[in-house]
Amino acid sequence: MAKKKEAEARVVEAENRMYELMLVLKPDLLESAVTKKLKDFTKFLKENECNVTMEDVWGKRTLAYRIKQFEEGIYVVYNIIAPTTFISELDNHLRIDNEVIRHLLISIENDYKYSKFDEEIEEAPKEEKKAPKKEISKKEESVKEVVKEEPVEEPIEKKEESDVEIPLSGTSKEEVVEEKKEEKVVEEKAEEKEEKEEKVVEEKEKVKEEKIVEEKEKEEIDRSALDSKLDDLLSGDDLNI
Amino acid sequence: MAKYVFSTNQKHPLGKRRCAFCTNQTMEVDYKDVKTLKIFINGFKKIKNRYYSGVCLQHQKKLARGIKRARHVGLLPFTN
Ligand SMILES: [Zn+2]
Repeated sequence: MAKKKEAEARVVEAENRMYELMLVLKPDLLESAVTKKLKDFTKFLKENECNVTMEDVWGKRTLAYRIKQFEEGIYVVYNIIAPTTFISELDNHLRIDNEVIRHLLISIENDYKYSKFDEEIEEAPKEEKKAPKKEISKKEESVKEVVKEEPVEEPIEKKEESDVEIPLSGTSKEEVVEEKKEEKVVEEKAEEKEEKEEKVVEEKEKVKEEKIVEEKEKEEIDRSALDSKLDDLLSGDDLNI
Repeated sequence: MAKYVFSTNQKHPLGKRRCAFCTNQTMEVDYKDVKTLKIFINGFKKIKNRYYSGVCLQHQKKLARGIKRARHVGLLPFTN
């Protein structure tokens, strides 16, 4: 009877199947630690006569729910060809491992082709687009205000002119127009001032940064000079303390 | 892959409903494909009834398996 069982086991051992393995690693591992971990893991697989056909590191991803008090996880996907007897051992090995939060080991068909599914690529460019838009909008605000004000003024002028035409003579028109022009000029000047002020502020910041850099350089120079002086004093043996 | 359209088919009468996976024959249920799995999930993150999603029985079973696998690995939530 024992011999028969052994023979069956040998028959099972000869069978190789394709498996897909997904690991979720701890998020607080460093990149070097992750690469080391994966190298060791592939070594462990090869020692047990496994053939790694595909390895894909997804990177950090937010989990849908907390797993072992972690909000994030590092996802890694393997496609392996492994002997069927080794799978239970591998499962136990992964369950004991502390750095692996979750793992999923499933059998796949032989004609399975791994394909990537991009979910976050559509969301990411939106965020990138949003950021520069805000900067532009801040700059354009002054321009937009001018654009908005002008069309509002023009109809008012026309209306007033039309209203004024009937009771008053032609001289009043020119006066009104001149007054409006003056107002416009004042507004434009105010806007120009604002722009100038912004430029001045930027220049001031730049000057400050330069000053800081210069101060740092000066400090370094002073330190180096002091060091050289100290060396001279020490080397000279003229210590008159 | 992303261009396939998955409609709920509820506008059509019962006889004209087609399974979204059967119509796009290259498409297969994969637990890593979160984007398509989310279409077959309820507002409470429960698996949608076959009556509302219009999926055939074979694919509904595969879908359920895929969603459960995705839940286990933390790609999809169990509840809302
Ligand atoms: Zn179907």
